[in-house]
Amino acid sequence: MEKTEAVVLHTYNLTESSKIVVLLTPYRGKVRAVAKGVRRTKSKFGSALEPITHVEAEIYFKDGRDLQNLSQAETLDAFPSIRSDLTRLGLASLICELMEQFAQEDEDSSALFALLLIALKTLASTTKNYASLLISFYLRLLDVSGLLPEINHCVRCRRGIEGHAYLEASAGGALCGGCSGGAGEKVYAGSLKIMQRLLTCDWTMLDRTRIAQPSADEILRALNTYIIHHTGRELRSARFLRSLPKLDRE
Amino acid sequence: MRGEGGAITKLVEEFRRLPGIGPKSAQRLAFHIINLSKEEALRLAQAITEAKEKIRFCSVCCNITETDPCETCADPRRDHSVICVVEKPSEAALIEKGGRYRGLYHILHGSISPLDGIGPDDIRLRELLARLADKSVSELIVATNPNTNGEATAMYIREVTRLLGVRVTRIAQGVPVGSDLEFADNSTLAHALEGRREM
Ligand SMILES: [Zn+2]
Ligand SMILES: [Zn+2]
Repeated sequence: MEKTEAVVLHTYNLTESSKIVVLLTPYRGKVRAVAKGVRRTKSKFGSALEPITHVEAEIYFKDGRDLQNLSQAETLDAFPSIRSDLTRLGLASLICELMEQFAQEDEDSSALFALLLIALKTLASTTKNYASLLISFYLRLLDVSGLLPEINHCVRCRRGIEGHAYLEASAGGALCGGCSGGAGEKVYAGSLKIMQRLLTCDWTMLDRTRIAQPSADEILRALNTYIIHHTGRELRSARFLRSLPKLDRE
Repeated sequence: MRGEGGAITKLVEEFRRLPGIGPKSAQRLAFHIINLSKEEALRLAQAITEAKEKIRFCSVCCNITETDPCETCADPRRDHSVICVVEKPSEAALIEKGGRYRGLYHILHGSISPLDGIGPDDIRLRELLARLADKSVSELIVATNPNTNGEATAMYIREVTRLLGVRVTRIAQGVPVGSDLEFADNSTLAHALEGRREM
C-alpha cells in the first residue's frame, strides 16, 4: 500500500458501481486504478474521485499490472471556483487532458505534477486573461516534456525573426520567411516575444497580462497544431471550449 | 467448425460493446446464451427486436416511449408548467416511483463533459429550449447528477435561460457529491426535489 498525493485527471465508469480513475502522481507518473463502490451514494470516496481534484490517495501497486487498486482517497482541494464557472472548467479540463496525454506510466513526474498543481491553483484564482494562462501552460508543458519549440530565432538559419515566422512542429520551432517555404502556422514576431515572456514570467503575473485577441488566437492556434503534431490527437476539451463564448472577450 | 467459432466471436464482441461489460463478462454471457434452449434464445432476440421497433423517443420530453407524445406529456392532469430535467430515463422513472412529483420531465440523454468532448450540442438541450419558447413553462427543476458534469450541465442551463424569464431551481444536496442519482433511493430523491433551491 502506498500513500501518495495525486490529481484526478479523468474517470470512466467501469461497472454498475466502480470506476477507472486516471491519476497523475509525482513519483509514479500516470496511474490507472480501479475504485470499487465509488458510484454508490454511500461511497467512502465521497467526491474525491471527481476529475480535477487534488487528493491524497492510497494505492495498492502491483508491478506489471495494467490497473492498480485504489483503496482510499481524501480530497485536498476540489477547486470549487473552477467547478462553478464553465470557462474555467473547460480550461481545467484541457489542462488535465494534456497531462493525461503527456504523462507516462511508472516514471518520475514531479516536474509535470508541480506544473499541473500550480496551473490549477492559478486558474482557480483567475477571473480574466485566461489566454495568457493557457499559453503559459502550453509552453511550460512542452518545456518540461523536452519539446519546447525554438521561438527566439529561426531554427534553420539562426537569424532573428523580423516581421513574421512560421511555427513548424517537424522543424522544432519557428522558421523565418526565407527558410520556411510557407508551411507551418504563421506567427508575428510580436507574438513570439509574448510567448518568450509567458514561458518564464511569474504565475502571479498572468491574470494581469492581457494579450490582444488576434495575437492570442494566433498563438493558441499555432501551439494547438504544435501539440497535436506530437500527441497525434485532437483535444476533446478544446472542442468544448470552442462551444463557449470566446476567451477573454467580454 | 470455423463457422461456429466466428459466431461465438461475433456474439462476444456484441456483448463487449455494452456498458460495464469487460471481456470476461462478455464471454460468460455468450456461453450462457449458447447453453439456452432455442426457444429461450429466440425469446431474448425477439424482446430486443420488439423493443427496438416499438420504443421511440417522445418528441416533447425525449423520454423513451411507445406512444408519441409519451403518457406523461399527454396527461392533462399533470402540471405542464414545471419541467424536471434529468440525464437519463431511469432517473425520471425513479422520481416517478416516488409518486409525489406532478410536473413533466425532460431527458437530456447525457451531460456536458468537457473531458470527453461532450458539449451542449451533443445532448438534448436544444429540445429543452424549444419547450420554453411559448412561455407556458414557469419552472425548470435541474436534477442532473451532483458531480462535475452534472453541475456543469446545470450551470449551462442556468446561463442560456437567463433571459427567458423562467425560474431555474436545482435539487438539494441530499444526494452526496460524486455519486450517481440512479443509485439514490426514492426518499432521498423526493427530499432532494422538495428542498430545491433557486439557481
Ligand atoms: Zn531562417
Ligand atoms: Zn414526453
